[in-house]
Amino acid sequence: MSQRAKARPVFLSAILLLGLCAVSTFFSFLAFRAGERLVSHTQEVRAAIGDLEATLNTAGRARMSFLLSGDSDDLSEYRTATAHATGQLAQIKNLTHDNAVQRVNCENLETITRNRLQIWEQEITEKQQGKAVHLPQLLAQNVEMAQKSAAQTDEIRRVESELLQMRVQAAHKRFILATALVSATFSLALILLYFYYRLLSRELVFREQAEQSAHEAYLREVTFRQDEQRFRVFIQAVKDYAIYTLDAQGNVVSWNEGAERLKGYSKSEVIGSNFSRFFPADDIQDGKPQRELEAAIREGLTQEEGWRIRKDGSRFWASVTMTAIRDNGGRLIGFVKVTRDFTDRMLAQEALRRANAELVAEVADRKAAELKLAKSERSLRELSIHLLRTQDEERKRIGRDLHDSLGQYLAVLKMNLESLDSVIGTNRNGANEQVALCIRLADDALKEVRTISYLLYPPLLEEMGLKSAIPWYLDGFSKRSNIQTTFDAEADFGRLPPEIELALFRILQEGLTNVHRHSGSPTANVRLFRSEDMAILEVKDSGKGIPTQLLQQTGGDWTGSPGVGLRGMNERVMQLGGRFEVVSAGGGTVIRAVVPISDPVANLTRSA
Amino acid sequence: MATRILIADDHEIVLEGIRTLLARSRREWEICGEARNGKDAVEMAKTLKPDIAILDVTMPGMSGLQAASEIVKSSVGCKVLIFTMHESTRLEIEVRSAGAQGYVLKSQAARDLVRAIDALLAGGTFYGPSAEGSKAEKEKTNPSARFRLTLAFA
Repeated sequence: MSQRAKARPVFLSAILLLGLCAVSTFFSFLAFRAGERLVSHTQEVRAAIGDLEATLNTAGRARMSFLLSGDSDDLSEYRTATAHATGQLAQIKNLTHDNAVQRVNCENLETITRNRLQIWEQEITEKQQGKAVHLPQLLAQNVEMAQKSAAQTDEIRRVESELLQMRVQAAHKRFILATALVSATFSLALILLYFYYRLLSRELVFREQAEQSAHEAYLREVTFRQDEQRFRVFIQAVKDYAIYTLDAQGNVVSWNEGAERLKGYSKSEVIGSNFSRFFPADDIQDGKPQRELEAAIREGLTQEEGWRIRKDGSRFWASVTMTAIRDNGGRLIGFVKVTRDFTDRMLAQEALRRANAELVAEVADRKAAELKLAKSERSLRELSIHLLRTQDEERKRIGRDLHDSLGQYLAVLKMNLESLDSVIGTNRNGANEQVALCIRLADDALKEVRTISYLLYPPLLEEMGLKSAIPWYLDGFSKRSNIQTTFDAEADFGRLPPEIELALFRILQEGLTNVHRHSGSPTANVRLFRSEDMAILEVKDSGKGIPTQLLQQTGGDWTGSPGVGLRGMNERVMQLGGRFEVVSAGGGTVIRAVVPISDPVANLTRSA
Repeated sequence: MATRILIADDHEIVLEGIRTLLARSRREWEICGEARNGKDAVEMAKTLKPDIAILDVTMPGMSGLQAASEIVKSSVGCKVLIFTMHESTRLEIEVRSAGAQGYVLKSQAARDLVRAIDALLAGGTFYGPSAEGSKAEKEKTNPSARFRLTLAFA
């Protein structure tokens, strides 16, 4: 706009200047023409003067001829010439009347000429009258007059030349002035036009840019409208969500299909009405709709769940998201509400919550029960450990008692019998044989007591360790059970802590008892070895194996094992932080006790 | 001169058996004292100054082996013979380390006791069946040795 306002005076000035330029050109042209005219005027004046002189000369000559000859031809020639001269004189006057000096000069010339002509006329008249012609006088008079005339014409010529010079100079000055003016105005006009061009082109650039941006804006607008249209269609098509917009007061502005389905109102009956109609009556009384609007205005976005009312009056549990919409200036235009029917979910959650609560209670009960069970299991285990220990101690005590008390008696009995034998002397009615038999019986009893007591508590175990106690025990076992045994032990197995040795020995006893009682195996193979920090005792038979269901019942820790044997073995191993393995199949059973050896003394003993 | 013998055992019947055996075996042997435990045995050895003390291993309070080392220290000249039910390979080592001059198994009392006392009184030692017993007897009473044989044949 301002460009245009600026351009107008510039353009007008340029036009004005161009007009001025044209005028100046015209004037300079006029000046130029005037100069030319002046030159030609001067030429005319000169020519007229020349003509006059020539005519006068002709007239003079013709007069002379007439005077001399009296010929009428000469007279007529003279008359013609003089007639010319008058006209020529008038012409000169006419040509020079614009200048005062020349006018005077002309009048002088006219006077002189008329005088001459008058004189000439007089002479002619005298001639015609026949008077004598006095030539020298005539000539002298004539010369004088001619000289006067010539002087006068020269004066006119001179003045005319001067005038010409002056006038041409003036015309030239005007021409130069006009030319300068033309140049100046033209240049100025050009400059102004240039400015005008600049302004115009800038304006054009601006306009082009504006057009460009307008076009882009248009394209954007088109895209936006397309998007908006698509979005609108999309929103409209959404069925699972009620999506609708409210104006700033909470009146419904748009209503999609999902809203229609969810709330039951058609678009036409709901547009323009306040959104509070979807709330239950008590919520409306409580001012909840208004609060929701305020919260959305304050927070920009609110989410809540609550009961809403359908057109048919039924309630549903709604999950609502409400967003305040503002224009670029931050002014509130309205709200977008997205509502979902969460009734099922709410009910499901409620049910889930209840189920959870029940579950939690149940879990708590179960935990308590488990705790109780664990406690009782622990006490059971403690009891069984205690039992095992008591059993060991009992065995040890019984063994000792047998050995130390019954054994003493038998020893003394044998001793006495032997004394008796020597007292009796030789063969009194076969008494010696009887005594010898008694001695043998006492000896056998003594051995038996010792065996039983050693089985109950093997002294070799304490003294020599497992590696010596096991073969000793296997030997007795083979004799009693008729089961062939083999023993395989590492050469440098060494000693173990006493409690481990006792436990492994008891496991061996128990294991071999099982082989004897249940497996029906003719052989038992015992291995004793170390693997890293573990001592491993393995008893393998080739019997019928443990029934599968029995094995399955036992579980991981053998606590459920019906056989006290396996359970006891497991208990002993567990007590030492080891593990007890049973592998049983048709081809026999392998039991394996794996016990960690943490006692550095034991290891020292071994390496020594 | 009578040989004074101190006997110690917590079983009355054993004491009686020893008494009977010794009384019938040598007239000059005299039971100078009978102790029922190790501690008494040590005290009696000090006061009675016996020539020889026959000590059971398993006794309440102080064991026979402990009593043996005490007696060896406190009663110079008193020989000590261990008389025990326990039959084991370590026995000889322990007997020796206690300072006793020998041991006799109770089951072999009739055969060995008198010989052992004789040996000790003569300034010698008597270490159980290995001292005098036959090779066959030793093998018979050592099950591990026997087992090794079984293994060798297997």
